[in-house]
Amino acid sequence: MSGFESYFLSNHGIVLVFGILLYFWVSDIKTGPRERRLLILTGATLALVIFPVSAAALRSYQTGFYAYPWIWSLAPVTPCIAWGATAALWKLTAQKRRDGKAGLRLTAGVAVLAALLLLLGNMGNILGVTEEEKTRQRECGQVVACLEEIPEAEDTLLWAPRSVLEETRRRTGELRLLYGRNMWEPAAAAYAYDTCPEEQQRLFDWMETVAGGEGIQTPQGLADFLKAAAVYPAGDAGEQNWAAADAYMLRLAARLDARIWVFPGEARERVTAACEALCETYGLNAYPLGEAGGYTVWRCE
Amino acid sequence: MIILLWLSLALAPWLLGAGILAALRGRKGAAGVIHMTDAWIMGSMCCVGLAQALHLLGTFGHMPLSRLTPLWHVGIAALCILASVPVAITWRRHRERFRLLPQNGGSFVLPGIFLLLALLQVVYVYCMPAIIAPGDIMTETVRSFQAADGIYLVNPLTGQAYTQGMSMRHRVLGLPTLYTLLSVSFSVDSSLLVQNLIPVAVIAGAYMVYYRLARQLFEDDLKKKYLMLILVSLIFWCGEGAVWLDGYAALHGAWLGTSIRNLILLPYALSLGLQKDPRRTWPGMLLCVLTEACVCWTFNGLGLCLLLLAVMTVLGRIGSSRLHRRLAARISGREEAGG
Repeated sequence: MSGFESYFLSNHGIVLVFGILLYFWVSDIKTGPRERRLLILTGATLALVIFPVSAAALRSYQTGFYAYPWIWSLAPVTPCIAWGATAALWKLTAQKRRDGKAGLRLTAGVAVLAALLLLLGNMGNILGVTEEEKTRQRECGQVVACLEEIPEAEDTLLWAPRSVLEETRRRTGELRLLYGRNMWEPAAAAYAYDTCPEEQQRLFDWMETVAGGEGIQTPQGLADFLKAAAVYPAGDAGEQNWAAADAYMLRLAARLDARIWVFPGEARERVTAACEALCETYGLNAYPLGEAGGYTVWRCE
Repeated sequence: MIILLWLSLALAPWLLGAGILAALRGRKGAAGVIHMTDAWIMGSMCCVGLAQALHLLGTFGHMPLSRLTPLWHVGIAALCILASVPVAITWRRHRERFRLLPQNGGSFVLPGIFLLLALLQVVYVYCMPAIIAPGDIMTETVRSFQAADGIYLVNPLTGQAYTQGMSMRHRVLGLPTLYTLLSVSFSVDSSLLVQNLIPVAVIAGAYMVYYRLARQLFEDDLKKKYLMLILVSLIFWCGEGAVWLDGYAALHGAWLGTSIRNLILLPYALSLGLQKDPRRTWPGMLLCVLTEACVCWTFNGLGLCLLLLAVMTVLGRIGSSRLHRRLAARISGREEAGG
């Protein structure tokens, strides 16, 4: 029953379907053949999606690509509620219609039903993009606009925090990324067999650490990776050691052909120190190209 | 160009569907009435089919998008010309068969409330920034098709070539190609088309299908039909909390294949199944099943529309079986005896 519960928690309106089925079962309302067919179909499909054995068969049929609640698409929930509520409202207000107060009674009935739907649904809190998200999208959009102005950006790969990468591919198909949403979103990765090599995974970890600011702890996988590369600051880590580790990651990105980088403006000091170490240790020259939306765009040569 | 796009989205599917229905229903008198809603839905499914054919040509025939686009234009034009022949003939002989608007009169209150609610939803999906559902890569896919001038030449999420390849079941789905062809044909920005314009068409299609369903259930009672549509729109507004709900499909992700299936194809298949007249409804049923296979990840092409129709057929057979009739007669006989 855990499957049913998961659906029920997302759609309490399903009780209306049970209520309609019960109402038409016990009441003396005469239904036409098509209406009876709809009622029988609704009952049968509800049984199919709730009963564990048939639900498991349906899950196999719809493929593992979809979660359990998707099998509820088979049950005509919306048609049943809409038809059943209409027929019931009509029946319940029939006497009143003869009294000449049809419109008023029907309006009251619809209002009660709307209130019931609201109570069983989202209480009027419609999902939407939050202000924070809108601001983030606007800032990332400014970064993408800036990147589109750089002529060599199309010849190399872009390496940036995940929000910038997401927005980049949504706004343009011309810029190529070092890694995409398939790195951190399993649902998006399900379309392809491509996997992310460990080096890309560590670059993602490192970028998220930089984008997260000082409060973010270095993930264990990244720490182990840097330790194995003998550049991780051991014990009492000084700034020099941190810069050396950062420079190693920047060089790794450059080696994977990601030579346009975007970092948050707050990380400028850290990146500058890393770029100095990059030049000294690996002979690669990196410099800032410009700023947009609170981010700094860097170029590595 | 957006106005031209709207005109094309409204007229081309209607003409195609009306042509097919006029040809299929031939000389059938009153039974041959061609409703605007039925024609638009059927024509839209034909457009999806044409886009699917071009998608397969691009995917497996490695034809670039720049060559697929003229083929799309020619294909649509040819289909429209072909469809206009039976439409013109029927229009001349039996103009009364084309039903654009409900024939009965009545109060404007219920239709007005319904139109207001539907219009609010249209304005909402057209103006509000879209929520990106988990796993939705439609915009990225359309952009990658345009940038690479080909179908699935690069991974839409990175823009780089695939290293291990992609799932065949995902690769055969032609919906992104339809959006790409529309975007290229009318020079409309991909994300605007996918996230703001297509949802308006899908919501319109959903209400057309629900109107058809209401017609099946309430026949000529116009007030009940509009009341049912009002309740459908209330359900959309109130039940949009999860990605698998119809409200979410209508208001937040109408461009997705699953949304098209849940909002249009399944209710349409249901309305066809309720008619219980397979001789007249089989083309629509077949188109439903095929369209779902084109837009949705299914079990080797077998989707929920086919399953729904199969369940309805089985229930119909059980209902008309001798055993069922005997049982029903015995139960009602007992009730009468008891009463």
